[in-house]
Amino acid sequence: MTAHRLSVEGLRLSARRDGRPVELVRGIDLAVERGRVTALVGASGSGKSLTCLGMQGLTPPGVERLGGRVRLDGEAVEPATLPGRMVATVMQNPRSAFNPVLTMRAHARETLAVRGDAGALERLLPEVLAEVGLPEPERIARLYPFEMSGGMLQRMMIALALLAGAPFLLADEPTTDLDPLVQAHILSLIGRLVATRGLGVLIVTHDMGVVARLADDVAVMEAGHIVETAPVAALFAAPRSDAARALLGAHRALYPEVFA
Amino acid sequence: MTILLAAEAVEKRYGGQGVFGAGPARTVLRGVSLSVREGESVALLGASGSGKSTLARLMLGLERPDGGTVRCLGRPIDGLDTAGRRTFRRTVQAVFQDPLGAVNPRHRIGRIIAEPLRHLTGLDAQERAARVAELLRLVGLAPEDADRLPGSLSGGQVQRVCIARALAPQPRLILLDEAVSNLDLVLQLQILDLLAGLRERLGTAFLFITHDVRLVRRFCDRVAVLHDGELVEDRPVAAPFTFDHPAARALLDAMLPAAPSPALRNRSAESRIAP
Repeated sequence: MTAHRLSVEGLRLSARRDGRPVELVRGIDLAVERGRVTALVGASGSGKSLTCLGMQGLTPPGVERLGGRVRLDGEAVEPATLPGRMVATVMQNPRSAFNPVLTMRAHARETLAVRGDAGALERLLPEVLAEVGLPEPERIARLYPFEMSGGMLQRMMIALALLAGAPFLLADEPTTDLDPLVQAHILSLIGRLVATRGLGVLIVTHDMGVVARLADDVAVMEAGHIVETAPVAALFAAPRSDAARALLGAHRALYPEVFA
Repeated sequence: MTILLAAEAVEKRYGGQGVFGAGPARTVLRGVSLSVREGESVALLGASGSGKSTLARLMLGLERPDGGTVRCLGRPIDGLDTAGRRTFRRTVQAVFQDPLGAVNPRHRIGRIIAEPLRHLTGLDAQERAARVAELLRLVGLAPEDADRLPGSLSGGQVQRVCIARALAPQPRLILLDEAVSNLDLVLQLQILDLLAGLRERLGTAFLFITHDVRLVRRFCDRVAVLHDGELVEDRPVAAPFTFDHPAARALLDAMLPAAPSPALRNRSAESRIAP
């Protein structure tokens, strides 16, 4: 738990289409630091989500890893050892991340068991549930995934990440399908955990409003490459890549009173 | 202006029976009235669970209200005869959020888009094929895509197929139920700009169900807000964009910022968790 920087170098992923390999992620360098939020932005199909998976050594079926080294504080690590203890994840569709026949308590017990600390369940579960804004821990602990809304499940994902004690959080479109009130709560929760726990966050999004709300640094992806990285204020003030200009152009069209 | 579609004091209750035995019935809509006129673009805003999609389903005749009436061109849609239903379907088309669930995975794109043309128009096969090619171009796809299967397209492309299908019979009103919310923002704007263009050229009206306040300001001239099954706002979209009802204001306050600011990222200020 002493790692401060999670990085990937030269990540290359390819899939087969019509029998021929197509490189979807073409040599990416990306880093996440404790206490900071890095946003990975880009159009659909630019390779954002694959990069996010690649950073934790995961590849979806049919996708092959051609290259890339994951490092913790500069030391090469076997990426498959990261999920759980080092890296927690939050995804767009939280429902698919839960086992439908297990209660929240059982999910929490499993997560703590990975850490070798199942005995701390009764002490830690109410603590993290309160921290993510899920009141009445006794009631929540008994619920099954189908009894919970998308926003509650998203908070539960973050609670499990806290139980795992992972210093890094990879969040792939964590608020895209949520209504604006829940979205605001989740973003402010992530921001607060960055401040209080020094969590290092990579957030994948296509919404520059989310970037403006939460990010410190931004990496812009296009067709499998990172075409620009910049601190958030610099990117908004003076985007250098076509991809960033397109994203910001669409974003600004939504705020006629600010960018008239 | 002709009222194309109107919900008049509709009520909807669910419940009574469930997996775990009979529960109390839950009222989802209480006396909601909402109308869309020729050429109008109306937004229906609300948090999740406010009843937006239920109202949409009632207005499309997919479910029956427990009270009140839904009218299309002045006629109650409950109890329409075959010709009346055809007119209703030709007048009102809809696009939903989940594009892959809304198409038959075994049908080619051309057939999917031509479906309403077969049922609702007198076009022959050749005219239908020409119209399909035109529609594909209109939504930013290639005429050759007509021969592909939905599984070979991305989610965003299938969503555009669904929009092309809704446009096919030249309806006077298109209901969009979170129809663009799973596309990226650049694509959302492209599609909404395209629909705004159709509205200008053909006078097509839109009922646009969304939770993104930002899109409402850009694409709609009237906005209604549902909260807890009741319509709490129904007003023109004008600058400055404000609401009176606290629940509607909360949606506005939660809007994502236009630009980064040090104050927003001053995270020590975020010590409070909203319930």
